[in-house]
Amino acid sequence: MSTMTLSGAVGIGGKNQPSDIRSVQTALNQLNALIVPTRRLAVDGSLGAVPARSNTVAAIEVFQKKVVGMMRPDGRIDPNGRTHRLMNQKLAQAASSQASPSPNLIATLMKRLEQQEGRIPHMYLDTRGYVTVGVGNMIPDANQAAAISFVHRDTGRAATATEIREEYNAIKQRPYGRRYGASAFRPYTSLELTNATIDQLTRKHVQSFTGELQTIYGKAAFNAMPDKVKLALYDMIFNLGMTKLKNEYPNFNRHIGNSDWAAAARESRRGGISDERNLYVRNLLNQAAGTP
Amino acid sequence: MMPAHRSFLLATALMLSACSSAAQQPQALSPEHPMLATLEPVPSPDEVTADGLMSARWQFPLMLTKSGGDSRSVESCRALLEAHNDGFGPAQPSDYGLVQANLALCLATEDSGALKPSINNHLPAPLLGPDFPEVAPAELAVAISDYQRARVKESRSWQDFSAIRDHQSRSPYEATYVTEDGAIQRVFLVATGDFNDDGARDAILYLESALEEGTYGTARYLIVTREEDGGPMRVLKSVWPGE
Repeated sequence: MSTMTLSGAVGIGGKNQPSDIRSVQTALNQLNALIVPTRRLAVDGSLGAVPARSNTVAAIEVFQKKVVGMMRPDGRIDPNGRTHRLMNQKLAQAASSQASPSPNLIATLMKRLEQQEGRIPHMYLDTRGYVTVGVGNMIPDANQAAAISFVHRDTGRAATATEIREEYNAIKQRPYGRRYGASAFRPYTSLELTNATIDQLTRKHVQSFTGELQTIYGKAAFNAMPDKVKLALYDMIFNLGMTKLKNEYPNFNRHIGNSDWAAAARESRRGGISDERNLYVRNLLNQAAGTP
Repeated sequence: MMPAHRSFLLATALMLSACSSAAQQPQALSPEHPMLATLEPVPSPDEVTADGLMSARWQFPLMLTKSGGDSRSVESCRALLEAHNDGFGPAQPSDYGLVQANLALCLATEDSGALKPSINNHLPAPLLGPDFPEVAPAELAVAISDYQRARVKESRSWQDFSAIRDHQSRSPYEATYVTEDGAIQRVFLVATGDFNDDGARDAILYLESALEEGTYGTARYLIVTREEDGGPMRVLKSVWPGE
């Protein structure tokens, strides 16, 4: 939902049409990150027997206090009133950022990922023995490799699908492990990616992470997060994958869900990686929290 | 000045000591030591000792830097450990894992040179079989967050910490375990022998951890032991460079 239309007022003293209540409940769920610690509302089109005691009215009041800036929230949304207009503005912002992270954020993110993961134009085996290229782009099989635009290192000539498959299969046979750098595989390759192709693959990769982060934290909630928090989460998910980030960090995720960035910073540590990388994520979250 | 006969005795003793350790080390050292895979050409049998491996030249040099801008290229374990002690580290952030892994393996190799012949052996045989996680200490688990690392301390065994979904063994000296939650632990048996002078056989295990999703990876080594047949294994030493 990018805008919410109402036929009548919702909340204390409102007409409280079930369809309007459902729209408000859906919108408040989408904007949940802005009204912490409010829990997600049941979308049932009802305010119960006493609207003033309902979770929906309580959520409207939190929105009015935190976002609209009302000192004395009235717990009611009038069609095209101040609260309604602010809600639509925030919904539109969430919808636009949902389409794509800002170009600035993507540029910062790509630079950072490249520093951490390296930028390797030829195929190599990562620490799991998976054939990888560019900025940590894993290639699942030879056919998918053949769909990528490799060129011959010496001549710049476009490689054929057969040539790409052969090189993929040759690399796949090499010994692998943490103690082999990507450069150890270079002598066994003759094909490379251009910078433009590497950037294209990385952007696609980032796009898939955006979807995964929206799955974990909720689309509207993720889209409404400050860029520094997003950068921290991108670093975490690139490194850990969706399953581990979701399951291994319950405290961290709870604090992110509550927009408590400082507490999330304290729970963000990954054992076994460099202090510098841990510090980068912790600092981003602390900066978002306004904590030095 | 030392009398000539004492000097001769000392020299003989040193020679005997050297012969003795040279004879014992190949027994302690894994015949498929993970570092052998990085050496090309394959070293001669005389070099396949902990000491030989520490000096053996790698196929690829590793570039290191330190704050202030100094850089140093290293091509052997001995040179890497010296450079590390001198404050040198990865030349760029993306080399962190590579340097960490080589440090772990070189330190494990150095420790394997100090192993003594054991008198008793209570380690399971083969060590890296499918049942290993049931007796292995929980410290073998891939635990990344502080939350999970606290759980490791409360777990009785690796299997108790995380259920193993898949086990693949290339040889008695290397096995890969994949857990239900998508962690991959490659375990290499570097050497066996008595590490802590109690007569029981201990094992030096070099570990490379990764995840099915994500680029996370780390390397470390453990020295483990078991004091009685069927008993739990425990960690004598844990080295995780950078931690």
